Amino acid sequence: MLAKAGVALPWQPKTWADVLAVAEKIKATEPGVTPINVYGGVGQGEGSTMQGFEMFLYGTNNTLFDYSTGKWEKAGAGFKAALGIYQTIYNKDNLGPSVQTALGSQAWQVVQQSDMPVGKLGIDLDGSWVGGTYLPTGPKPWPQWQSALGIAAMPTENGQAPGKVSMSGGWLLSVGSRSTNKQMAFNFITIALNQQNSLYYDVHASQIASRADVASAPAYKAQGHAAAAFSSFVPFTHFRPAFTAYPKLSTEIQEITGELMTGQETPAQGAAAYNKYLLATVGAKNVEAAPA
Amino acid sequence: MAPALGIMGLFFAGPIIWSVYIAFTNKALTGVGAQHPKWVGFANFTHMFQDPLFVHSLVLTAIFVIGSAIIGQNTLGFLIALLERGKNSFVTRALNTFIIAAWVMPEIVAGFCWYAFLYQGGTLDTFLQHFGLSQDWLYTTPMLAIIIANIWRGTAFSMLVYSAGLSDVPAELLEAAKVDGASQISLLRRVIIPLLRRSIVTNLMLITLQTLASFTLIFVLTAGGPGEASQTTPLYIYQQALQLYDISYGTAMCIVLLLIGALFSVVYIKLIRVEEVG
Repeated sequence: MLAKAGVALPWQPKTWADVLAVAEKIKATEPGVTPINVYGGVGQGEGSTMQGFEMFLYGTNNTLFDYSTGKWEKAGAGFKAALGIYQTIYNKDNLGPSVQTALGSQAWQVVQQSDMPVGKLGIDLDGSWVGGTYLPTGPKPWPQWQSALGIAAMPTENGQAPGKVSMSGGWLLSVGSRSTNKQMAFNFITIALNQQNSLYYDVHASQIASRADVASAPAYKAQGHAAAAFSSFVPFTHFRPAFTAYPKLSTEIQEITGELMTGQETPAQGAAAYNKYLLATVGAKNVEAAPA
Repeated sequence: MAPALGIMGLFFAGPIIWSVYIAFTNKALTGVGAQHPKWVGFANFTHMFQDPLFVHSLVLTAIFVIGSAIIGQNTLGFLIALLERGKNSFVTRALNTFIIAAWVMPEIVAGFCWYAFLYQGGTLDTFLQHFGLSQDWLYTTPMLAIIIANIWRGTAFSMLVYSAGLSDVPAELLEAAKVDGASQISLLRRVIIPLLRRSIVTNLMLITLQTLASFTLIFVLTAGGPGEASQTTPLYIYQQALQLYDISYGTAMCIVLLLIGALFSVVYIKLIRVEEVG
């Protein structure tokens, strides 16, 4: 899709503007193709927050939570900029799927299963698991997906360090604080997560390697370029603030992105709505202003 | 007797008492409120009426109950019962089979049928594409979609209640009224409806309570969306209590919903004055 629009491959955008410029090119040269998909709205749930909004927010100078002070950040310039993307894509420049589709509960199926494999979508801002859809055992087998789909890291807003952004979730093995035999638990975890076992697990469960020595192992690389590309994102990935308030704030963000998409709110109004909700949810003493 | 009472107490009264109790605490399913719930008095209830999404959900619930149950199911069920009265043709039997089939179908299946009919690319959309009206009806008209789906699903119940009620209306009374020169309309207004008061109250009460608590159908069709455009109170309770883990706020809203159901029942009984007839 990108080659048809005249974009040099492999493509690695350096700023948000690069991404939007290519989306505009696709729009201009390939009618009938949706230039870019970014998840938003309540229908896509946490996907809207994590694969959509936060992929932009964490590429600005703002985040949701400041670990150094233990406080939630108010919506600042970065928050508004991230909301502005939704306004641009869905409301001003029509670069995304139709708002009806994007806000429906089936948006991801449309994007991943109906549009992408048949060349009706240019850029999809999405997660490493999408490949699973195209495996022979997946809901939409697509043998050529590894060669047809290029993978680029999401750039930061203006290319500020570290230049790229990614959001991750996952699991870990921990020693319980009330464990009566902490050493044995620790030994177990040491064995379970050693290079050999991690490699076996990551390959068989289609996981992204978080150990460099797993990512560089031949058995891991043999899976194709996608797994290698995703592992290279691990050093700059972020994780979501895992606190009680997060699910509520996430739902609020989903609602606000949806309102930006339909044009009911401006980025400034969306940020104000978030700040009001944030204060009501976590209390003023747990909130701080966003850095500029 | 004692073991039976014990079991009843444990599995019936127990959960009710527990949910009333936690509605007055800050019990949550995760975080501080999960480990050390505190008594917070009426805080959940005062918060509720300052919560624009809750108030919004109540308005939608009222529209849903009035539109789909009180107007839709009730009127349509009554009309069908009236038109079929005293007839037992092949047509009425076939019609009843369809109407009752819609009712006995599991809610999730009914929800999926309507989803397949209304979504973008679904039956209705495919048909209307020929007229240039392509759209996702669940997006453009979410409330109308869930109201119509619920009428379709629930009309059978009202029809059965009214059929039973109508079969109790003495034929000689209708004959006598006709001999006295009553028109069809006044027959309906002055003879049939007054005799059906009990059925009407029973039916309205049952379908109102049923519709107030309706969850599955809406969840399958729109999940409360787009945005919050069809987020009735049960869906909002689900979101708050089980997705955002605020179980005490959820149960507090359940209690309010229960009181609203009781209020509806009182209004019906007052309005229709069953006792006078009885």
